[in-house]
Amino acid sequence: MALHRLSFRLRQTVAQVRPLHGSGCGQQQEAVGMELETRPETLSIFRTQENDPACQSEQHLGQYYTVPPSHFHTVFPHGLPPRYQQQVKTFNEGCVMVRQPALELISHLKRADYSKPTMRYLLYGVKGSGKTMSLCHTVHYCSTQGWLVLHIPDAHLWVKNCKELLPSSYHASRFDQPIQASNWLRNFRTTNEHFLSKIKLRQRYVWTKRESTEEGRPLGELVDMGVSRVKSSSDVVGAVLKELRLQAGGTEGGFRLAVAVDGVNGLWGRTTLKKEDKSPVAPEELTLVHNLRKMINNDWCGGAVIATLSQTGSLYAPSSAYLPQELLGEEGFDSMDPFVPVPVSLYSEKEFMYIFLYIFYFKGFSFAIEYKTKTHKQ
Amino acid sequence: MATRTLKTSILSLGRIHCHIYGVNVRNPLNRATYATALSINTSSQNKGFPDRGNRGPFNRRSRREAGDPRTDRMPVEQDWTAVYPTATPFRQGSVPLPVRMGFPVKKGVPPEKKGNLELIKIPNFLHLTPLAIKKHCEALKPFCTEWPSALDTGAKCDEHFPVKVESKDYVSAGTSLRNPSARIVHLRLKLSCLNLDDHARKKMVKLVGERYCKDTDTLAITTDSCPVRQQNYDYAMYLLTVLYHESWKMEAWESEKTVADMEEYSWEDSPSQKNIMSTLVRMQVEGEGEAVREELLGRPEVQEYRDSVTRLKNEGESESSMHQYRDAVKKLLNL
Repeated sequence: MALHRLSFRLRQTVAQVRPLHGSGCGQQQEAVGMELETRPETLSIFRTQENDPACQSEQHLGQYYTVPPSHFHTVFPHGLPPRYQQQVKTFNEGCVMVRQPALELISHLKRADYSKPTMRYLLYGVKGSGKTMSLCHTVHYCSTQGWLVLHIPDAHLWVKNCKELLPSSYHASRFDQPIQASNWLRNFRTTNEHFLSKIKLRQRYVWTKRESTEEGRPLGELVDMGVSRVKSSSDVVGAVLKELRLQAGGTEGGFRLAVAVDGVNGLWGRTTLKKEDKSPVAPEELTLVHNLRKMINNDWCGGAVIATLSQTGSLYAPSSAYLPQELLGEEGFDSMDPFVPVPVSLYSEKEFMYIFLYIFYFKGFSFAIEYKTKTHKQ
Repeated sequence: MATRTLKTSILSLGRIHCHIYGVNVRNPLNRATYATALSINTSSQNKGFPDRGNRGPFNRRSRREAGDPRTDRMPVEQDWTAVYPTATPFRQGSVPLPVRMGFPVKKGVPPEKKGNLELIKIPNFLHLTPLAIKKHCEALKPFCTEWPSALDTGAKCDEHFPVKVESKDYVSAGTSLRNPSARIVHLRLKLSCLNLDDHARKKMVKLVGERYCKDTDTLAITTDSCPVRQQNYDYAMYLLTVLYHESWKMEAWESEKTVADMEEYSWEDSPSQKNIMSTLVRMQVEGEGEAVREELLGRPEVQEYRDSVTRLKNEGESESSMHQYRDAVKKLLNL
């Protein structure tokens, strides 16, 4: 029954759009030069021209907005779901749908008081409901507003499949993960280039007997050192996080810090890593996890923590679990408490119709035109 | 010629049995009959079957015919208890119901009751119709005492006789009258009728373990370790007494009870309370100290938050409890 209504509404939208296609088919040469964005407004029922997340509101719900290509690689070097990355490559544009959970989060972020302890927001929902995409939408908002974005693409990647596990030099019982840490630092550098020279370190860090980073040096130097010297990259990550925590929301030269963690339930739970004597490694024994947990506490101010739960990729969690307490466990819940849970639901009928228009009808048609013109040229 | 007339006269008679040796000309009364290989004109042929006279497997001469089934002659107002006075296997001729049972082969229907082994194999309760049971009750009445008229509701029974003892008696006719299952004694009572304080109740529930049902608040003790029912009953009463007295006692090691041992979540002194208190204290600009904490705890938003967290932890998670938690947090942190 729902499909009948859907197809009926679809027919209405198709009827609106038809005259343009009728003319387009007959004149294929002109269609070559036509960009998608220059088509008249009848086609943009599912698209909005409002590409700035700060200005999006309830009226844009369900519509697609385009992330400007210049921003795309700086804002999202590593945050997007793999399917979405494929879609972006295929369609040559990054379009994100404006949905209720992201709008709610953005409105909270707009109205929050940044002199109070950090608010934690947790996106939860069933598999495939759009938690990671909502997180990315919020991250885009934060970066357009000039915040410093700490985006951890998947906390589960730090607790499993780690080939090299070095004992930490800083703390005897902890373990370092050099590859993961240096990868993350590289992506962090790409996202936050402009901040790296502005933020100065407040403390001296000693790496080895001969190497140290002095107080007052820019953060960029620390990050470059972490990327080049892979062995101490985990400690560099810890130092970076500590500096940002201390300096966010500071009165002079203060910036806002957004900590976006995907799959935050990986930080509490079990790992699949083993020590040399085959005993399992607890998550708190990993330097990266230890430092990230400190970021998620609300003892600092001047920013926000936005996290998502993820069952896919999680370890030892049943596949039907999606509610916060099931995935976070007792320890995780007590650490995150108090947080604002934001439920993410599956697509509504209207959203589904817009997706259908976007992918099958609109994109499919433009492909057909481009293919025809290409073969015609040849 | 004579034989021919004989044959026609025989054939013209309706449902009269005609038995030409070894052959059934027709199938009287739709009974299953034996098919034989001999045809009508075989008075001279034998086809391998020796003449055995009136004996032999296919002898028909002196066998008494079965009459109509009893069902044809049953009036509607009959006494059913006379048809099935005791537990008997199913007799298709005595049960006037068109019952069918079995697997319908080749898109057919389940086979009828006639010759149906499935119906005979299963237990039936045709001997226990309400009328039959009434008759049993009437027969047992002289041996019973009257139920006290003051105990007419279940609530009154529970109030005056909270402890219920149940045991079964078995009657059978066999080589021995004894049945070892008769020694089992079940003792049931509600814990609310015992005088237990909070600690004693929790300890009692932990002591009895599986024997306590939380939904109905019933403690059920089953004893079968002694050979005689009287002994089992005494043992059950002894267990109840011991449980009651032990649960009131407070041992020295009970003071080491940890959070993991607690039966339900209590918000006081939990990490959740500590977190929210520290957050709120930092959010307030005015000073610190006990008075501020007390004041914060007294606020309705904090109470709401406490209720939502307790509900989440005790009842488990669901969409509604998550929504309640969400609203409580938003109100508390002024979102």
